[in-house]
Amino acid sequence: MLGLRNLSLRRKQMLIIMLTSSVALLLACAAFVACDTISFRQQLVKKESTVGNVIANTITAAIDFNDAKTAEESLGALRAEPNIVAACVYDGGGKVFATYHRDQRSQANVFPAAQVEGHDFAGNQLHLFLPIKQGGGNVGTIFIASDLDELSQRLTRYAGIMGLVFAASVLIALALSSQLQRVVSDPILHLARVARSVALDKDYSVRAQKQSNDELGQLIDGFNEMLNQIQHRDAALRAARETLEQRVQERTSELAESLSVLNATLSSTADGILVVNSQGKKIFRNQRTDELWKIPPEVSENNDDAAQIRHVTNATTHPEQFLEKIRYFYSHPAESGQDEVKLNDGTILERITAPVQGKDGRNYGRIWTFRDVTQRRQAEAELQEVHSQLLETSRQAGMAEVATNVLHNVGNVLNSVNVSAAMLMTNTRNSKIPYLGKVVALLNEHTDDLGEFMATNPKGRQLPDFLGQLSRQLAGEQQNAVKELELLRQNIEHIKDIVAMQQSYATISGVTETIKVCDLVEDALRMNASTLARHAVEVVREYMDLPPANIEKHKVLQILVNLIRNAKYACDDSGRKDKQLKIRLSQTDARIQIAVIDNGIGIRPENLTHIFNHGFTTRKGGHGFGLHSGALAARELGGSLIGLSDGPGTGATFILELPFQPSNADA
Amino acid sequence: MAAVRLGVMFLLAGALLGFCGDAAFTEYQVKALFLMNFTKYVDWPATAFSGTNAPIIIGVYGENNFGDALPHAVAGRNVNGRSIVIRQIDNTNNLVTCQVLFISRSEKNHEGEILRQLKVSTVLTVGETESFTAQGGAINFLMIDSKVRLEINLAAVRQANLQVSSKLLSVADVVKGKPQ
Repeated sequence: MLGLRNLSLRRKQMLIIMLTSSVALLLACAAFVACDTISFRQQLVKKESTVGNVIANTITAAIDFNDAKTAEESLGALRAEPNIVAACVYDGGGKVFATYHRDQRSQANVFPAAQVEGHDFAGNQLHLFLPIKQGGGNVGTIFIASDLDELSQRLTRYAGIMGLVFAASVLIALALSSQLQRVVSDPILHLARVARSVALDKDYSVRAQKQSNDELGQLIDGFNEMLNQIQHRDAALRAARETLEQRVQERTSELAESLSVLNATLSSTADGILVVNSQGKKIFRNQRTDELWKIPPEVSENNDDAAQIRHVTNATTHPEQFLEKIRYFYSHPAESGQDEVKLNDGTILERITAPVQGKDGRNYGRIWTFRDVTQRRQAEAELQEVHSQLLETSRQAGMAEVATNVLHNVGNVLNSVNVSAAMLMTNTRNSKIPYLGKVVALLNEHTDDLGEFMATNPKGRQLPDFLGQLSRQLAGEQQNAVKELELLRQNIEHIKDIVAMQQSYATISGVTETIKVCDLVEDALRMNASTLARHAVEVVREYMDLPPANIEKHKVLQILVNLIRNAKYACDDSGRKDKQLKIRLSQTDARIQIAVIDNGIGIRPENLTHIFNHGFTTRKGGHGFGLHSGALAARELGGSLIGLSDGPGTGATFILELPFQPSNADA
Repeated sequence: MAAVRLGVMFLLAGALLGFCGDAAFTEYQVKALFLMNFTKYVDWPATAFSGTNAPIIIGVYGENNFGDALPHAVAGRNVNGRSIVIRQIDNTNNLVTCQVLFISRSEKNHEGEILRQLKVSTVLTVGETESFTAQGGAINFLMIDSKVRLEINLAAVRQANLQVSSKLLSVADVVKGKPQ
């Protein structure tokens, strides 16, 4: 079958035609032979039956009268039929009664057991049984064996004829098919030749010749159309390829340039950059990395990653932690992180790592950047130092301010104390008490005649009136003294309060107390009370009723004192008559807001961002760290301090926002 | 091969049986069969019978040596729609009542007389003596090679107005009185 498949189309077609016609011819021959054989046999049976019946008719008496000789004479008539080999007659009991043999050879024939009627083709012989009828009954059976030599002769003859016919047919079919197959195979072979030439020469301009309007013609049309399209596409492709090459060249040069820019950028950047792939293998490392890690050239130029890692690990103060971090990030490719690495020489490197991810989310590996932050860390430490010093200064300054206020307040009170003391002194000095002594001396003179004296002496008679007047006078004096002393006691109490407040302010901070916010605000106002009164600043209180909260009292107090003092200055500087300071307490969610609102000079918008800066002040004699330290303190408390103003002359609002922690005791 | 050999064995067995069967037939059994068979090859004129369905009567005159062979041979036989009857004839007056008359060997001395009585009848006479046909008998049984053979006297047959089939004549050993 495979051999057939690889035959040429021409041969294949011929072979198919030949095969088909041969098979048809053979089948026809076979049918003819089969038919002839069957009809020959039928005719033979018929012929022998006729012969046998004639014999049977003449032989009845021979059987009836047991005359074998006569029977055999009758059978002898069969000699006229050369194809009858042998025959016999069975009597009514099935016994062989008479026999016939064509020749010596046929005597070898053994007669089969008698049958009534029938025939069969056994071997090369026809065995025919016919009944011998006499008077409506069977008296015996005649058996005739005929050879089929005639049939075989006929078949041999037929075979010869068929062989000749077959050979002739095959030759004619061959001649016809070799001519007729061209009708089909020629266009196909032509098409195949054209297709091969197209495939070999890549010449799409050739066309196959159409020779008919059948399916082959359509095939060739289709082929030509295909060639046409290929030709067009080929041309288009060629054109596209040329422009593509140009574009590729342009892109390549652009890419090369941007790559060199990128490389230059990476090399000249201040950071050390190290990129590894997802297996941890180094892809890129810029020069700066070597400088930062002080990797010697012999290690750097050697492309041994392990040796380089060993070098940088040994350079750190805590190699184990360093390696552990690296291992962690290599086993968590999606994570990024930042830390600092201390080197043995004191250098501090900031280490930042992040996964390198494409826009499609693909992980290409990991980038490590290193930055020398030694100087920054030192500067920060110094700054921290300065800052804490400043804080301390600020605190001290705040305390000094408070002390000044305290002293001022105390001074004010002391004035009153002084006045009260002076008045007491004057009153006491001008007391009518000496008159009482004179009365006593007069009475002592007249001890013996006291009654007479009282009754007769004009002086004595005036004495009760005088004593009455003196008593009234002294009572008035006493009342004044008591009044003044009460004032004095109050003033001294005030001083005690102020001092106590200063003492509580001066205590160590960081301790939270459970107090009401409004009390704290009142404390702050009281500390500035005399100043505010002196400068005629009206204080308006808008307090929301807040429950007691846990507050670091002294820090808040310090901030509020600063804010109130600033507000006072702002009002003062504005020069207006209706100076007003408003304190508003409010609460939103878990935060409380203390707003200090003045209608003073206001703040320029450009200064709003600077006011919290250290050393910035708009006030003569200001330190520039009041608000700065206030903001810092607010942040330490977990809150914030912001300043708002619509501009010069519109006043300013400072809002201190603090986390509100209701006291557990209260709850 | 096995089938062929088996077939051969059966044939041999059949031949043996046939031989035995042949030996089993006695002379009178054969003669009884022949008597019966004559009715098939001889045509009687219609006047020979008393009616269209009258039986063919085979009469036996003289000593009956058949035993039961003769009734056996004709039992159930039917020839041209006529049954066959066996009748023992003792009285010579009754000779013409039958269609076939077998005259036993015991009546050898009376054969001529009997045959003469039957000269103008349509009776087929059958005998078994050497002089039977010579005395005018139609068919005579001969014993040749210890086989029963036939002798036919055509003149006698024709005189009895009987038609004898040529087949019967073909099996007869001797045919007398053939017309020249």
